[in-house]
Amino acid sequence: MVRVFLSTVIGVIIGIASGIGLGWGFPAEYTNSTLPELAQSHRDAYTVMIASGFVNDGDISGAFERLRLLGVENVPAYVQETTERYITNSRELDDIQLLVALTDGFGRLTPVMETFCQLCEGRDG
Amino acid sequence: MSETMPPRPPTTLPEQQAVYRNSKYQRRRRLFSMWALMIGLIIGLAGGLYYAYIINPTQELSTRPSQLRLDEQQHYVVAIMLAYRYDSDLTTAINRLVALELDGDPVQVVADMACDLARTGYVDSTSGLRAVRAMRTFYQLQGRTGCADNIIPAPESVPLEVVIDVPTASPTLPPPPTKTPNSELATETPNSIIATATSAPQGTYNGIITQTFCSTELSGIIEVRVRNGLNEEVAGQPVRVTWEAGRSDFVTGLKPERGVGYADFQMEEGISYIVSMPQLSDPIQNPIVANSCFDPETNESAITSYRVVFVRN
Repeated sequence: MVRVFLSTVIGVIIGIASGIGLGWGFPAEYTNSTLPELAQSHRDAYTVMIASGFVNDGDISGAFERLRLLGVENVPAYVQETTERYITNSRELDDIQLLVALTDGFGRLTPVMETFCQLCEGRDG
Repeated sequence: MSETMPPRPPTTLPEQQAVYRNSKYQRRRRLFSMWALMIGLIIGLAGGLYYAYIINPTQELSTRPSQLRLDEQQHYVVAIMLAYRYDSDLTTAINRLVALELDGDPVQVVADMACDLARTGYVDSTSGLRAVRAMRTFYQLQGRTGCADNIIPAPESVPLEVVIDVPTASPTLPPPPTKTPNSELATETPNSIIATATSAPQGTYNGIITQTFCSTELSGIIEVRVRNGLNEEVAGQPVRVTWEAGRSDFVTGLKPERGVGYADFQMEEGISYIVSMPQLSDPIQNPIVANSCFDPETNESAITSYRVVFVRN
């Protein structure tokens, strides 16, 4: 009897481990996702697109509302962090300039961003 | 003395051995019960999968735009349109729309989304209105239509004749004291004056980009056409193309074989241009960028060309 009990317990343990491994290793692909669940690369692309819109129309509140959809708590801090990451990783210069302009719009321009501030409002570059 | 061991007798008789092998009580027992192990495995697997998929699923961190639900895709499309309005890069915009795996023609889907947004409170804000206008400009340039064409008002045109109310202290000026007043000469100053523009003010013409195309024969060309209020082409109208390093002024009608209101300008790759009619129109809002493109007919790379039309209000 003890042998049967031990076998069942060991089977359950192996089964749970396998089930969780499968579930987490091969997660379901969702089709009704939201913007906060976007992959990092797509979040970055979305942010750059919103920065393009801001550079075009200067609508900082519109940019703020659209970036808030990404589910970030502090939009200006998020933009600053994204911009610094772009600069650190030497991403596309055009994208960096757009992000720097948006960061400047949020009043979070840092000294390292000054170099890339060609699109900042009221600057000739 | 040598001791020889006698042969050991067999422990069992051959027929007895066969009996022992076939007896389950005499077989060596396995360490685990396979049946119990399998049942436990099935129960555990079901429980583990339920936990991993239902109770505590992994946080989705690799979502593609195509996996967004419809209303979230609308926000993403708005972002694409804002970027397109900035860089006028049609290829990138189309590629981004295609990545959304929208059903049907992606440009028409933009028109439909603009229609949906225009019917909601989304356009109550300036930002929303601007976004829907950007979507409308995009799909109109690609020859599509949508209900947003009618719902969203066009920007107001500037009237040529302006009526200015000028309050006057008295209708007549007091006569000089040394002269005899003459009532016949007294004229009434009108309460309002009509100021007619002697030269056309900014905004007389509205300019839009009607089409972008990629052709190795007409690579990097800005084709400008100027039309009057009757939609007839007008010759001799000034056109200005400005870029970072300079500007070029020319007039329509120098290539009459292309039309009396026609003029064109050759762009250089990678440079952004602004087109306007000096003193007659505001610059076209969308920058014209000489991006490289791929001519589908010749399979060769070229520079994006633009067709621009200025129409008198």
